[in-house]
Amino acid sequence: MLLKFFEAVRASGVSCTPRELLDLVGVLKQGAAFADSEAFYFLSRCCLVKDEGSFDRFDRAFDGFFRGISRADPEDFSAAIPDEWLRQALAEEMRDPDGKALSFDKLEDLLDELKKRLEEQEGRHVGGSHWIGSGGSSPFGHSGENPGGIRIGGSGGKNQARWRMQQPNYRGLDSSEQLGTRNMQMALRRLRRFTRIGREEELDLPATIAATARNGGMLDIRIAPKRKNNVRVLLLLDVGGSMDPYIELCEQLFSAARSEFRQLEHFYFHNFPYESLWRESRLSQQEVMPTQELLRRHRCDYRVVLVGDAAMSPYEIVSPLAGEEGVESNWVQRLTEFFDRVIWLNPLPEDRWASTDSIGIISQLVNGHMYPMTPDGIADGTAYLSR
Amino acid sequence: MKFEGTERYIAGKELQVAVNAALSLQRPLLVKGEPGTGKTMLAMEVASSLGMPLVEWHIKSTTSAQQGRYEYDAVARLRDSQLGSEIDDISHYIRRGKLWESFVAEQRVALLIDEIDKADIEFPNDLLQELDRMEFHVYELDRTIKAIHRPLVIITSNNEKELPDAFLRRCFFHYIDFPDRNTLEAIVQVHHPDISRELLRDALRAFFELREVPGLKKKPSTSELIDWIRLLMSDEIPAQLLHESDGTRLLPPLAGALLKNEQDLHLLDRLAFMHRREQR
Repeated sequence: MLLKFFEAVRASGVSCTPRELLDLVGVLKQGAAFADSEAFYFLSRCCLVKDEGSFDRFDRAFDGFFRGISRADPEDFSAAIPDEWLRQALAEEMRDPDGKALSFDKLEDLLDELKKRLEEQEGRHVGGSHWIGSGGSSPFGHSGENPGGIRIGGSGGKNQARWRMQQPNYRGLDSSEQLGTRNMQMALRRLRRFTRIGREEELDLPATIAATARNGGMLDIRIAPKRKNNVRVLLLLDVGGSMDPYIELCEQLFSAARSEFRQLEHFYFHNFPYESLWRESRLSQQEVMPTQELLRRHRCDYRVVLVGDAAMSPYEIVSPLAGEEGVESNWVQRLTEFFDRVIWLNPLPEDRWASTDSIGIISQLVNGHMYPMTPDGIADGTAYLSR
Repeated sequence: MKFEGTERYIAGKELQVAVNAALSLQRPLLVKGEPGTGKTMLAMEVASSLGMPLVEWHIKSTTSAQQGRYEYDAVARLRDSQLGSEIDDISHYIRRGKLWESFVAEQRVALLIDEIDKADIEFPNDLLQELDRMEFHVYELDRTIKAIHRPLVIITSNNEKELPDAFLRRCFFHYIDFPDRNTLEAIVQVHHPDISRELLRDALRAFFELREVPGLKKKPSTSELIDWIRLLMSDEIPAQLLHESDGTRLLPPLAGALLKNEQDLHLLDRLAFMHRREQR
């Protein structure tokens, strides 16, 4: 029974090992949690789960296993869309720069309509032009054709959804992946600013010899602080659907950066950085970091690296800034203005950049510092960053 | 031996189960949670309630695993040799670290490794052997130090850095949630038994409202609340004043005890100002 439970927990995506199962058995043998399901729950959790981010997954596996009910796949959209998102989005007004026909003039109407349809709709729809579902030309749902629509779930058909409402349950970029990262790491290595800071803990050989000689042969030991790479890096990664083909590449970059920079912070965004970013990949709503706060929390000497394919419909970029009145700029522009050095790494091959409008716009926003995500491109980018 | 919370520390069942599991299997217990939710307090209270001496090892960014074992002061020995002193006894130049101390103690001790995430990213990996087998080798003396009584190891982390997998596999894990209103009430009453009901209610309300303010760099947590209430009580601030000062709009009295960050205080000031302007 415990083995099956262990399998169920593993199947839910919590990484636990036989070693931990043995621990659990060991504790149970000692009589802890005898005939006490609550204690068993706590005990198994503290043995098997080592990260509060996985608690939710464990809970579902536990529940599913002991009650025989699977809650893993809720088809309930209204629960999946946080209320906050709707509210935030409502506060903003979208414009269409090309004056192309939109099925709804304002985002507000669109969202109102979405809310209404969510209430009316029961069950799942594929195709058709009205209900939320996959395919079809309704403004809501995924894999559809309506350019002014909102994508819900699914993997996106035409890179056109204005606002991606998918709950961002993207997986964390795995930094343990080491193979293939070596040449990237070499490229990143240029981004170094060595300074001697902190405690004196290294023998300063030349100074020691000089001092000892001056001392008439009596040892006079001199020590100096260690040299440390003092560069601070802020990595913002796109984990939107269109980035799926480049996940492996991003993992490599992330893992290289992680091992190269001691002072690295990373956040995730979806398609284009708006007023909030995600701190962690696993949890969704709780882990939101307002971009405004990001600017408050970091000094302007942070080197900012944005990673994304920059492919989206142009009005996703040029919408006015939400929240503050009278500010006619967007977040990438503000990042560029705030931080000394900002670059954008694009995994898309360089020869295809010209065919997407949004890449040109974004490239301008970062003052032309968009680089391809190849070792050479990264080397060029870091050369600019370390200047 | 069983831990059941103490008079001064409210331990939920969850926590008791975790501590007792760590005690019975003699594995380290890793405790995570927001700063100020009582992670370090936990180790102290567990030690005192079980009657164990507590060995505290506070980790800084420069701490290395070797410092926990021992340090060999070669420079001192070199200097002594120049001055012609007796230098044959190497053990004279070996300083014992916290791990050594806790391994050779005469009774079972509790070892607190505080804020392990402050150290270098490789630090936890360097401790695997020590935590697993509770022994290490001293090369200078060619001697292995083995724990006489396996200490109860409690490790705290603020989640600043992710800990390596191999390390996590060897620990039990407990996450201290931010307490809900009722638990918080109980915690405050443990620390300030003679607090009046109104003051407690109003203070908690102002506190939770303050935690709701978006954009704070550091949300106030349990330890700040307890300090703040102590100040309120010693200054005899009338509960009424808290009523008027609605946490999100006006700064509550003595807010400096709750918000330790200049920018946060500034942010709150600005919110208060904007609110007053709206009312006009």
